[in-house]
Amino acid sequence: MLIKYLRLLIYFTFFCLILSENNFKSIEYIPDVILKDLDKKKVKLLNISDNKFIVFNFWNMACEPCKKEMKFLNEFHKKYNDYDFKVISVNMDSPRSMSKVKKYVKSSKYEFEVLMDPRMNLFKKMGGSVMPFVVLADNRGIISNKHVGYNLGDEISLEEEIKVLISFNKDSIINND
Amino acid sequence: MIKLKFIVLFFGIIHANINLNFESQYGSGSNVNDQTQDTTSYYYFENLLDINVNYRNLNLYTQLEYSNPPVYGEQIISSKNVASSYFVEYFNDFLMLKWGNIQTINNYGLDINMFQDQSIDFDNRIKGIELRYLPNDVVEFNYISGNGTFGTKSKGDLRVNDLNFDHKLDSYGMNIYSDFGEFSISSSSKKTFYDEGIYNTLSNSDTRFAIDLQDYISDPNYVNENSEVELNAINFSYSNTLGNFDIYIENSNNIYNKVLRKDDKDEEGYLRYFALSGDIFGMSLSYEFKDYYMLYYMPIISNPPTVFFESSSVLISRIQHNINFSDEIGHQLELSFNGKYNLSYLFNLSMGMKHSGIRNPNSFDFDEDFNIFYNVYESISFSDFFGSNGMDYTDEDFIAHKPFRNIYAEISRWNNNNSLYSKVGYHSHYSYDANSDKVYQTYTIPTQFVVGFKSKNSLTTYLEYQYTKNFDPFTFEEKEFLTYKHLALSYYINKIGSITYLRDEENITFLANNDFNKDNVWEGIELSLKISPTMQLSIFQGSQKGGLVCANGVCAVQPSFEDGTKITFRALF
Repeated sequence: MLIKYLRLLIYFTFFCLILSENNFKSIEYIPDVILKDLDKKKVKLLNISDNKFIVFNFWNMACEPCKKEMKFLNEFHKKYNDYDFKVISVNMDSPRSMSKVKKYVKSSKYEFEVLMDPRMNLFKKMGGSVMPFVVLADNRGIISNKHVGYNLGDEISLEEEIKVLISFNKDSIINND
Repeated sequence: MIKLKFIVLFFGIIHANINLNFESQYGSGSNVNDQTQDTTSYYYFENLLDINVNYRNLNLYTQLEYSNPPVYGEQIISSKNVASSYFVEYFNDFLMLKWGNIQTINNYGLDINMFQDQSIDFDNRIKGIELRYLPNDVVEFNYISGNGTFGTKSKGDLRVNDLNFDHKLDSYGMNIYSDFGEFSISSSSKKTFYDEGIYNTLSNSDTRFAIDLQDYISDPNYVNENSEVELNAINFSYSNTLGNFDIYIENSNNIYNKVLRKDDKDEEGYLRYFALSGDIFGMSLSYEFKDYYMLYYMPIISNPPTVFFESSSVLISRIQHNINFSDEIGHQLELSFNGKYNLSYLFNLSMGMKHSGIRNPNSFDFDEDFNIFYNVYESISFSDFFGSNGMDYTDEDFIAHKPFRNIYAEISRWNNNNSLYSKVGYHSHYSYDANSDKVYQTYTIPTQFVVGFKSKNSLTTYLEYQYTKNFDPFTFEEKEFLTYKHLALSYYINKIGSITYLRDEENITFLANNDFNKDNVWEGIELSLKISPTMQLSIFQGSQKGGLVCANGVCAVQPSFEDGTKITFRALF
């Protein structure tokens, strides 16, 4: 049974790899949703992400790896802010944990914007199922890559990817002109 | 269901945004019963495919399942019920209309909090409609209606729900956003249908509702009849920011009839919650208060805040408090601040108990008509939780209130170049809840260390120690001492994956059996491969200790897993 299952899994993995290639998938855009920020103000996602290179990160208070990754995301947010880059952090705790979320964000001195997605609408629309979940999007609102999971060291690769994202799109804009 | 598949296909053809999320779990080994030491084979094969389709203002979600059998729940192998969960949603700036499985929360969930959590096999969602209308920035109207079937287990270690209730919900309300704060008012009507004979199973089950049922005598003549419980609720909430502090108040007043009671007398119950959080003297502070009083009512749709510390530690989660949403009053205070040398501090205190007025089965009298009436235990206060005589398990009035007290302190630190993270905690948990066999005093030290290397690889260690003194739930005499050690040592190779060594040690000293000792060890190796940024394959070989897995105050027992293989594959594409 185990051998049969493994064989099936290998075939399916190849199938998934082929499907995940961009050639087989239509362009995916940032969804048009309205979320609330920590001060309960409504925020239209497309408005705050317009013409920006974005890293979305999805997390909740129980997710320890998410919290570790956020420390580095905050650094990237500050470091590349002049390059039209920003991090949008999306918390998925239920509203009843909002006081703890706000307290945590304040005490961690995070400078990025934190939005609340208690019904996990945006998370599911972007295809998330496991945290930490990071989504990269360019300044045209096109989603360029997604990452699931975090281990110390992954932030180095992510930073390289952010640099490529910013520079690649600048080049392509120049070329298009 | 066939129509649904056509909708998925239709959206696929017209090039909508489609996200697919696949998870496959396979496990084959054996399971040892803690009580009888009997070994049974343990096997699961669960496959879930989430499909999310976005097309303009439409969003369609469906979860397809093939499980033979799943980790929890009924086996699904027929194409008829392969679409286990779905919804269609239409939205614009003013309107949100959803049809299908409704996962939603109103305010802090005192009245409505519906969600699915597969890790604890919990699903209280209804199938119906949800409508939210926002004509402007000041007001929002909402309406939710539908039916569902809620399943729970009479014994925690069952894999399939054996208690199922049909239920119905209708709710409408409005939110007002003003400069003076946010107000919300709503009204809801909930019905639960109990099949004949379910009372016997319920009253002998591990569910929190059973504990309430055991506390009052029901007429045995009604046991074999169907029963319908109807509840009508009025809910109010208010929140505002005042200076450095956020305040939140929510109140839900309920009128309902008791299950299996034929008299026309209605019960009155309430759920109350208050939270205050903010900064003071450079520290972050939050205080929460809960007062849940809904005697003899089994909440299905409602899922209010737990108001106690929920830890991600493996050993702490195994002894977590099992909340009684029908009868509990309690407080939680949390303080956190950053100190010198990058040190962060966290302190949490939480406690709770049943309301006073608990019937004492050993103390009764007769009235002039020779009808029996029971006296009640003397009331206690939260001051009895502290001091030299605090949490006194020899005081029968105190233990009758099923009190619990949690104290948690934690220090964590990142070093200057962010290559070393360390966290050490201390947790003390006292619980005297005889009905759910949670009568113990326990101390846990969870630690976590993460070291990052220049090669972008990292080493993560979770090392935890727990000592528990278990009491006999009837005599409250010391019964056994338990010591647990948990180690998870993981080496991560950047972009490739990780290898993890897992070890659990258990030592039990049975005091009633001449200090007889029993030792157990569970060991395993897990190999996790990162096939792509969104594709992961994990293979586990060995044994794993079972235990409670808890979320939102609801716990499920994960069975021990002996000498076997587990494979998990996750892909997002």
